[in-house]
Amino acid sequence: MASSAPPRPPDAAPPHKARPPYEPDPVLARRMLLTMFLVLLVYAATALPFFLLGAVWGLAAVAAAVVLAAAVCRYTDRLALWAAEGREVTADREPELHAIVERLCVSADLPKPRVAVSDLAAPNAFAAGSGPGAAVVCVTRGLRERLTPEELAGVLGHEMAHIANRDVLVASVAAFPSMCAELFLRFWLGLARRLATLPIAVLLAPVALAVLPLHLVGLVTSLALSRYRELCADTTGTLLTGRPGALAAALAKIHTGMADAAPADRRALRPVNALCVARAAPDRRRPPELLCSHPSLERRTARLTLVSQRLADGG
Amino acid sequence: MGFLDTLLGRSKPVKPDLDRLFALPTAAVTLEAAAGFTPTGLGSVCFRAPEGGAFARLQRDVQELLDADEGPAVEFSTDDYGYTWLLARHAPEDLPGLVTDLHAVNATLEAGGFGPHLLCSLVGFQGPDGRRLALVYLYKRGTFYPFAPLPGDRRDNALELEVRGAVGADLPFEDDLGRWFPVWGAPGL
Repeated sequence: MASSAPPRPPDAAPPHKARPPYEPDPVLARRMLLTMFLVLLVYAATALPFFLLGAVWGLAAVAAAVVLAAAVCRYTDRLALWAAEGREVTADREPELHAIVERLCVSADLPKPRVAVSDLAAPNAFAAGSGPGAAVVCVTRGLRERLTPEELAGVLGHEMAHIANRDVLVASVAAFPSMCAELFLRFWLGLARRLATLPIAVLLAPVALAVLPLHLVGLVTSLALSRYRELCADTTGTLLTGRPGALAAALAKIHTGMADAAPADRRALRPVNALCVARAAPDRRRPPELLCSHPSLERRTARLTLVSQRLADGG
Repeated sequence: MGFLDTLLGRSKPVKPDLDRLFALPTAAVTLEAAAGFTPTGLGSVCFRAPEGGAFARLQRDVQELLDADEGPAVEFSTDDYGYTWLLARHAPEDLPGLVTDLHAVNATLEAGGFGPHLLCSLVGFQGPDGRRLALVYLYKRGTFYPFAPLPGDRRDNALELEVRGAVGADLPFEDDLGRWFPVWGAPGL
């Protein structure tokens, strides 16, 4: 063999031609589209009464909703950090956390989000912000203490996937009608409780009756959407780290840790529950799947095992 | 990422352009003329080895591929964060050979379906005063940026910007300074 070998052609006989292990899941995609269609119907049902009042009223209601939604999206990161008692940390303070996030950013081709740490002892993590340009990831002290660096990378990969997929935006949009409906129902209940305002409450009773099913349907659909997005973020996060096993191990630890966490900690995480890597609701017993923002641990583990198997099979 | 992908919550890996690596020898000539930095003959590829046996097989193939042409063997190492670095050594004047090796590693991993796990490749340079410098190629973005470490985990930002001024025209440079991620202690630096 000549010592000065000519440059090898770049794609000379790949040794193992393999199927990429991260094909999009068509079943999940179909279900998600169906759920989004339902969200759209909820929106239409919300706007319809205003349009019945007149085109101007309808357009005004739509405009108000858009402005409110935009404001929610813009300030969601600050609000979430404040609620979970998180504070931003620099690379000097938390070099390991920053290094993990930076590597995930390179893998995901995302700009680096801000990194925050919360002093809560309950192990959890969340991402907030409307999109990759303005995002923040936050981990709690409890999470850092319990997880190995590899498991931490798995969790942060899941959060980076949420950022890449703009899940916070999607979730806010989906939850918006039911949130508005809830606000109205609370307002109406307040009216009904006081004798002086009771006549107004009676007058508004038909509206409240119409809003109630809207609230319930909106809640159920937005929760269903949230569960699908969690499953997607698990898979995409694994695409960044290549270690579905590490994420599954981390999820198991987080679930145990959250069950043992102090009620005050779980209450602090409750406002950001939908953004968290695992459910943060303060009750020990799990409500039925339909009313959960996150899929069950078993379901998530099963999916991660599937990715593991594909990787083991040769990609 | 397309609208539908955003809607469905899935990310597609970008299609990278590995041939951009071949612009490095030209840039090295410019860099030496402008700032006196010469290649060290060391270069490395960083990737995340996923779990499972398939990747171990692929890793062996890469090693055999590079060891085949009587050059010095490549070295594998794992860093603190579980990423694998593959270090290739060539004579300092044989930058084209080094770049060809780095290209081959990237192409082999990519062909094996492990493109999503490739992070970056880098080529080391040394200044007349002993200062170290790396030109880092971001696989996902197809862009280059300089990384110049100083003792005590600090970066020589002035030198990095000077390097961009010198070779910015020869290489597709990373415009977003926020993505000039540090690669502390990378093999080949």
